[in-house]
Amino acid sequence: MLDLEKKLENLKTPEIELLSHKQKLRALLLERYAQKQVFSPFKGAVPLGFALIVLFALVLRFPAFQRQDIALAKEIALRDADFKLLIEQGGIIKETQLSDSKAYMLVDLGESDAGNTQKLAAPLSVSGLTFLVEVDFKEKKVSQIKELSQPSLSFSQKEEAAVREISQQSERVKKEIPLEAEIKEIRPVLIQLKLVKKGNKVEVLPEKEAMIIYQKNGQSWEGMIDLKTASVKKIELVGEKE
Amino acid sequence: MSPEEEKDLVKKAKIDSEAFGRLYDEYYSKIFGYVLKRTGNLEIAQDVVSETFLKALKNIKKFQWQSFFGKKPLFGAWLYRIASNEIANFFRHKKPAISLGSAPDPVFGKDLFGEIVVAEQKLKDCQDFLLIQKEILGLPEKYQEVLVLRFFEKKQIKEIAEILGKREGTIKSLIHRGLKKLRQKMPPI
Repeated sequence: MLDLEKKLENLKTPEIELLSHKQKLRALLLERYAQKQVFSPFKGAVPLGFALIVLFALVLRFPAFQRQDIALAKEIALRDADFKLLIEQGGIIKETQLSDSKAYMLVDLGESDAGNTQKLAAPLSVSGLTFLVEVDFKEKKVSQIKELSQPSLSFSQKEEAAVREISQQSERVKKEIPLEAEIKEIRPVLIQLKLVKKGNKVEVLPEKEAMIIYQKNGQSWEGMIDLKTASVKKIELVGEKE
Repeated sequence: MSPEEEKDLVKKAKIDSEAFGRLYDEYYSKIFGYVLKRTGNLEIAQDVVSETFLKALKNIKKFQWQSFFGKKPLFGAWLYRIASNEIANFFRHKKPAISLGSAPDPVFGKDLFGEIVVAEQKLKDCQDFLLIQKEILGLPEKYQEVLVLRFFEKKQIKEIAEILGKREGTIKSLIHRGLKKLRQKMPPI
């Protein structure tokens, strides 16, 4: 039996990892985690009956709690003169998130309309094109309209390593770029701003992709990598570079 | 990651998704490797690993560093235990595949397909492993677990004991009997 034991100890085993599966499962787990947090106060520790009584009391005590949804947030916001003007000037509500007794909206103003924002009574800057609007359900009013500045972007070492790995594993890269081409630069590119719910808070976070520059013998290729789906979205030859 | 760092991270992971993500990053490859070596099949491995981490997410709040035969099991051992149970469940019920979301976009699909083709080839390149793995798969489950953990995952006896929730002496005896049974099934070496 020792021979078998020795053979098993020295056996070459497969070292395989499926990066696409890993990334997609990670995204699914984090999504489920967020859902779990939203519903967790009503699960497990708090008996269902007690939770129902509390809910019922809240509904009776605070009429605003009867309805705190996206439609109501829009309804309240449209009663605000500044918000109304923003929408009339071409502002588009990109995203809405609810948190506690507030709603948050991201409103995008197209570049062509940005110049008209001086008409707004609130002190809004004309340079920004995305606005964060906070609606207070209790007060039934818009409590804040804030212009969002462009965030400074960077990649952590882990993100950069992930970009390199996606590039290395990509069949598209292997097909379209010579094997000896080197990665000269990896740069984060802002795709859009997103509202992300973290516990009871809502934060504005940048959604970024990676621009990756490959070079070989003076020739350069530019690729775009989507970290969320772990995929290479675009590759193009951008010509000669010194 | 030291056991203390891991303990802190597990504590945070009960309330913080980012901490759970870090634990996932730390353990995905290990659990995937273990499940693949147990099943010898990439598709089944993906399903079982998905189910394992979904179970871990569901039960993370219940996870406690309980004393077990005088030892405190690490988070990794807990994950291996879930994976072992899921493998058993899979073969018992032949569960349908877990959907990781709506239909993948074409670019993602293309990359995953390419990855699987490469991975299948890597797996085929390990012919000796596949032959022995197939024989192990024919053994009762209790022997499969110990043999894969001991010889393919290179785990120490005490680690296996922790993962499977058994005493070290029991593990040694299971390995001995498992090897004996495997020897009977295998051609002479």
